[in-house]
Amino acid sequence: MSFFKDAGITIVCILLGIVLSVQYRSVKVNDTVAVYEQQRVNDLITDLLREQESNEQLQKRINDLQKDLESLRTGTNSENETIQELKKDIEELEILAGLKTVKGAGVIVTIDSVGGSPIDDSHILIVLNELKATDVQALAVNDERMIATSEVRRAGSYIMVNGRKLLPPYIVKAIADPEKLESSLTIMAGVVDTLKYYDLKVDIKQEENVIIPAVRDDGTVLRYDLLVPVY
Amino acid sequence: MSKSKGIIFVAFILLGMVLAMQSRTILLAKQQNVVGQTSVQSLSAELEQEKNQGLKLQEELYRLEEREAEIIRQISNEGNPLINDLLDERHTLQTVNGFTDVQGSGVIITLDDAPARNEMDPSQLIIHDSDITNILNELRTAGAQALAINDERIIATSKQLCAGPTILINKNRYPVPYVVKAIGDPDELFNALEQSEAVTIMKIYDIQVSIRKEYEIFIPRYNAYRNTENMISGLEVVER
Repeated sequence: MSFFKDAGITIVCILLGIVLSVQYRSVKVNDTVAVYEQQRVNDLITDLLREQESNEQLQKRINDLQKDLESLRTGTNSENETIQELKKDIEELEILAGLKTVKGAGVIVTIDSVGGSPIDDSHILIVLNELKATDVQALAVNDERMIATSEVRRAGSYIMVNGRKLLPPYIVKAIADPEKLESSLTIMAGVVDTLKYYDLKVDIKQEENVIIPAVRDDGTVLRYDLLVPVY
Repeated sequence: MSKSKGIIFVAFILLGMVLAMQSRTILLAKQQNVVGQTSVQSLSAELEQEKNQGLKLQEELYRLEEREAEIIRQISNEGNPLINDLLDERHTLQTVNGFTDVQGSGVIITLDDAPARNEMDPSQLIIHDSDITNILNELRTAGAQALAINDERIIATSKQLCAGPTILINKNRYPVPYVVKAIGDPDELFNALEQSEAVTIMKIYDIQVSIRKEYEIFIPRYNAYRNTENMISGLEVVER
């Protein structure tokens, strides 16, 4: 009789143990799933907003073009107006290509080593990449304008940008919303913290009038002779 | 006798409590899952729709741009060489800015995450944005004239951000494998990459890197925002 009673208690206790561990596991799994789902939802929302913005801009451009075409077709545009419009397009494209010296609100970031430790190209690249992620409109390192094909390469104690030697301190200029630019760099565990870890001193100044010079136009930086346009 | 009864009593109370808790978590988890899934599903569907809309708008824009060039050319054929010159100049600048499809010789690099291995930290097996930045930098140093990642044209202000297992380029998100295309001198580009620190380190970590020279590479135009005005809205020209 007492054997059955003991056995009963044992079985009940074993069951209790199993149930408890299952319970614990399922709570943990649920938490991970919830975190993953949330991340996915956040990604989707940012993607969606970006896509909507892009579509709005496309629609605006289409409307503009339709208007232009209408006036071209009906001949209300004189040759002179066509010329003016083409010139305006050309100027905009020149600004975008970095062929004009520009100014605007932005930040000036000075990067220098504290104890004479060398500054690597990767240190400059992470700063540039972070600024690009903040919708920057013009960028320069020691007044060398950054274009699509600009390299940043360390060669001993200096770095090369657009094939030109630059010496420290490195001064990165960027034009875009100054607040956003600064906070993108100073975010916790962000670029500034990383650079400090490498014994570099980073100074960020917001400015109303950051001047960024045009790209050197001697045919060594802007090259496109190997590109065949496809129609 | 009454002692063992007491133990059984307590054990059953505990068992009952645990059972109730367990069934509650299961019910809750099911509910959560349903909510999470529907919002993921509906968001995905909405995104898909928006993307399709974007493609349609893109096509419409190309069509209009071609039509515009055609009409202007017709007008200028009727006798204005100035318009022809301006059209050519505009086209060259569009090429410089990455707004035209281009073709040429160069290299194609394919990158894929390393196969999973238990003994290693997974973050060392995946491709980071710094890997991509380094590769682009090597290609630029070796004289690349046009660059694209997964057919997203890289322009001066293109952003590349790693967000977990995907990469965000311009405004679009791509999973691995990443295909980097570069037009330039194929030998120079190839050698620069083969000897680069970036590629050597990736190979040490078993990241799958393949580099091949190609003589007919097609790189599409920049597609993210075609509105030049918006891309230079914060810039004022300084005359020198």
